[in-house]
Amino acid sequence: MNRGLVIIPAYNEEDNIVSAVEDLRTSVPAIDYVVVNDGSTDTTAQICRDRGYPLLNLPVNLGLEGAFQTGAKYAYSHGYDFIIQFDADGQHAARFIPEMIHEAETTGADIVVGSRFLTHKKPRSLRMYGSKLITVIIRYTTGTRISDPTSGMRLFGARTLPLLATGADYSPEPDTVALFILKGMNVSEVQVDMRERRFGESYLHLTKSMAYMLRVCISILFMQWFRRSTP
Amino acid sequence: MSVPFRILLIIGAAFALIVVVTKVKKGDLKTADSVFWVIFAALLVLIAIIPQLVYWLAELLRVQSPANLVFLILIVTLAVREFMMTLRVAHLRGQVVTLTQKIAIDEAERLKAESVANGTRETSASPSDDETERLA
Repeated sequence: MNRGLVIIPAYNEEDNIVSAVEDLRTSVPAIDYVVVNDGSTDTTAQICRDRGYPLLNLPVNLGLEGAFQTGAKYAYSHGYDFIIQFDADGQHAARFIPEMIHEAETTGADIVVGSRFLTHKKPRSLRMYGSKLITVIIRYTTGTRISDPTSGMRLFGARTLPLLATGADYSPEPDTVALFILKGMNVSEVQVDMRERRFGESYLHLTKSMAYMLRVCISILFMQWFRRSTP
Repeated sequence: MSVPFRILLIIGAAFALIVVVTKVKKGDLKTADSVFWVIFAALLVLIAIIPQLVYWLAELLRVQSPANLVFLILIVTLAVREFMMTLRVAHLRGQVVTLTQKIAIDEAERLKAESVANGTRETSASPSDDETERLA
């Protein structure tokens, strides 16, 4: 039986962390998880300690990439077979995790993305045009169609884990997924539902969305191609 | 802008791109950090291929020579970038300070906790042991 670790990066999520973790514990009680406190300035860490949630407490803020990698490093050194990226803000629904795990086990996919748009259409908004653009350029450069490339609900399998844990340039983002495909890994998707963010700030402010899109496009269209054969 | 000048821009851009891609492949530079330089090089190529863009702006700003405008654009870009780097360095230094202080304080508290534990052990040691130690 494969052992998985759910990684929950959290930055100032005192309002959401309990409901996110409890959702996970009730929907998937058998799976291990760890909250990674990314140098929060609020009471996120204290809440986790009070409630006995497994916690990796970063003394300074590293951002999503650093926080997620902390969990990946922990998973790698403790012999986990796969990791699951799960949001601390309550947007992800843990009840879809067993399906993602099942998908990985039956198809042998190295990465499983929890997609909002596999069977549902993308709504028409500026954000979704960005998502559509990323889908198109990933399809163009890798041949694989990922309907929800920016979804943060992802399962990363054993073949990806060493790179995620020890590599310096593997943030849990669409361009890294594209790079993994170029390196020969398989990506599959599972239809999921997500909720709207309830409280607090997101890792991605709307003002930074443009810079994000530019970076992701240049990375996927240009840089990742050169990285496809390096370790 | 003369043709040799524009060719120079393209060569410069190509060289910059080669350096950046090599560094990313080697792992010296992260993909996210390389994006600025990729855009920078692309801008140089764009100016070289479609100089009319610069000619138009030069007329608008009443700059004598379009090449001067190219230099100005490059200098302003680098100045802005330099300032952003200053901010980033300040942020990093703040993190280093925080971490250093935390390590020092954590170590002191650990040693204090250890000495409290040791102190408890010493008070329960028998007097004959102490004497043996002193004679040895």
